[in-house]
Amino acid sequence: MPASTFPDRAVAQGRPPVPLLVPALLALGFLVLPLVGLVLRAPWRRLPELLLDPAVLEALRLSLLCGLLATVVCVLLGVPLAWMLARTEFPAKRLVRALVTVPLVLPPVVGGVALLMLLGRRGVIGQYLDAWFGLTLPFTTTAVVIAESFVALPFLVIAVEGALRAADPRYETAAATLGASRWTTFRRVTLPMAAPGVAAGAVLCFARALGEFGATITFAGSFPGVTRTMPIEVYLQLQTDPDTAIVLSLLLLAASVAVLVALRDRWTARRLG
Amino acid sequence: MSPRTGPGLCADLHVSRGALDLRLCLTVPPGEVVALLGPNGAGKSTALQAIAGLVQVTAGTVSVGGRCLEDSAAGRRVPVEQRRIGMVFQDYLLFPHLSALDNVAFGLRVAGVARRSANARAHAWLEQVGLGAGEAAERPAGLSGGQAQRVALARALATDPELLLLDEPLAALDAGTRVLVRAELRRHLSGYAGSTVLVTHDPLDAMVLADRIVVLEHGQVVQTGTAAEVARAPRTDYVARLVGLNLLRGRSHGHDVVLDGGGSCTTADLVEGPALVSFRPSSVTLHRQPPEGSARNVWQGRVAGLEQHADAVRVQVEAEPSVLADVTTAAVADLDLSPGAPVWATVKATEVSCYPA
Repeated sequence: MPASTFPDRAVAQGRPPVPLLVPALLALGFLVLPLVGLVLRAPWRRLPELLLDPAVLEALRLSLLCGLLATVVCVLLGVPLAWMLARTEFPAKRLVRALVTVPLVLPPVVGGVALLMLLGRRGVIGQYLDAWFGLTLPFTTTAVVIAESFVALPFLVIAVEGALRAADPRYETAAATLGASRWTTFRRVTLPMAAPGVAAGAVLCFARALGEFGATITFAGSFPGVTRTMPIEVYLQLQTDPDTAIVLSLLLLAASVAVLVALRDRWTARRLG
Repeated sequence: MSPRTGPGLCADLHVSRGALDLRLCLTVPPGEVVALLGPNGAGKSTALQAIAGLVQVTAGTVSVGGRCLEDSAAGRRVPVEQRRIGMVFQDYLLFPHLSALDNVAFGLRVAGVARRSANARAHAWLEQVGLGAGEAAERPAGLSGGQAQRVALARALATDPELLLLDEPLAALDAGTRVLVRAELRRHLSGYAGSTVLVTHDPLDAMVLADRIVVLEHGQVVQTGTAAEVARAPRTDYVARLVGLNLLRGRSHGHDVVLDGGGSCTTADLVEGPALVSFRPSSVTLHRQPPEGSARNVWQGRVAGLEQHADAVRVQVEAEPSVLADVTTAAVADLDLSPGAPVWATVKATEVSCYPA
């Protein structure tokens, strides 16, 4: 798109200089070649058999289930938070926005440790969950969903906040003059208008949840069928049956490509927001 | 003191916002259409938003049909969504994700009217503004400017508000559509039982649509009256320019007015004290030689500029006083008028109207 906006740029400015061109090509190769290697080394002939391996299917089922549940949790909690950030003024709003982005830069393992400290059996809240309700979260499927939600929520909040900021708030004013309360306006005007942004955020959120490893293995462990999601299965299989690990990796790669295709208009063509 | 409540709209507003200091006292009985006319930044839109409850009022009261919507002294402020007003925005703000029908039905649905009945009433409103089932199913993106304007009007009226607010309702239309929609809007407004306040910077909109015009400049009301009154006797340069008149200020004694900007003027009207003098640019005659004849007002000066204006050329004459003269293209050639050329401008006293300032 930018190339067509400046049709004369190539003519006007000549060829890219070598000190920029060479590292640029190296960077591209660095990003693409490992994936090419993965595809080249894939045991294509054994693929059906490996895909139907109960361990693979189990990990796949668990990953999809937890990823979807985490996405639902993130949408239910994240959209209201994004709305608060985009549409209301409150003290320390900048601080809140900064806190929201912390899990983006935090090593996921640290996130897992933090979740254990909060929700573990001896944790700040976990001890009461255990004592009062007999509820133990760590090393359960619920823990997987919690860990994935923790790392994926910022993606959703940021994407949806951007979509809400891009939506003209004057439509909400128009709704108010027609008698709509703020809640009604949110449901009937704001949310439908921001729907593409929410959908994009949800897809991104799902992709992040699907790939979650560090926080999950720390907070939920690795129990087959309970907490052993695909990334964990990949890591374990690599030590015993590399072919299975490659097949699982291909699946995750395919999921990532699918996400890129789903978001192609918002993510690749344009910059986010 | 204005009455604080009564039938229709009663507003007594003071809004301080940045450079704008708006003071407006406005009473609009049911059935009347009032146009707030003024240049950009005069505070017309702010006034409308203050009545709607969209901006914070510094001080004042607003009531509609005896129902108090705003009373700063009593700390009362009804939120926008409970004001029961109809509002048409400059760019309509039709909800892009809803069909025209759903846009019109929105206010009814929000008020708790069942879907079927809301849709039936919305259909009736759309029909009333001349839109059929085809347009009703269309999303705003598929409507023409004129159609979108009509949907916006239907949406604002669908909830039967007692007060209708129109913010530059025709500004987004192209010239051709505008004439049509303006005439139509006039018809709908005369059929509307509530009070209407219309904001515009187009004098033609104000004159065609409104029963009464309130001219705002720098947040102050500078003139109010019917279209004919405002057009006949402008009180500020802005209004004079809008209606295409020369306007001079001065002090009148008998038939003679000593002008504030220098020079004097003779009129047919008898006024004592501070006065405004106005006459049409087409009443001004230009000469290259000192004129002979009966014209009582002769001013010597020079041409400051020329500008094509409809089918005449409008000549700015720099003199005491400076005036605008409309002459034919042929006259421009005959008189060899060009910027800097010395000219004499004459106006008959009978062409000049004079009224107390």
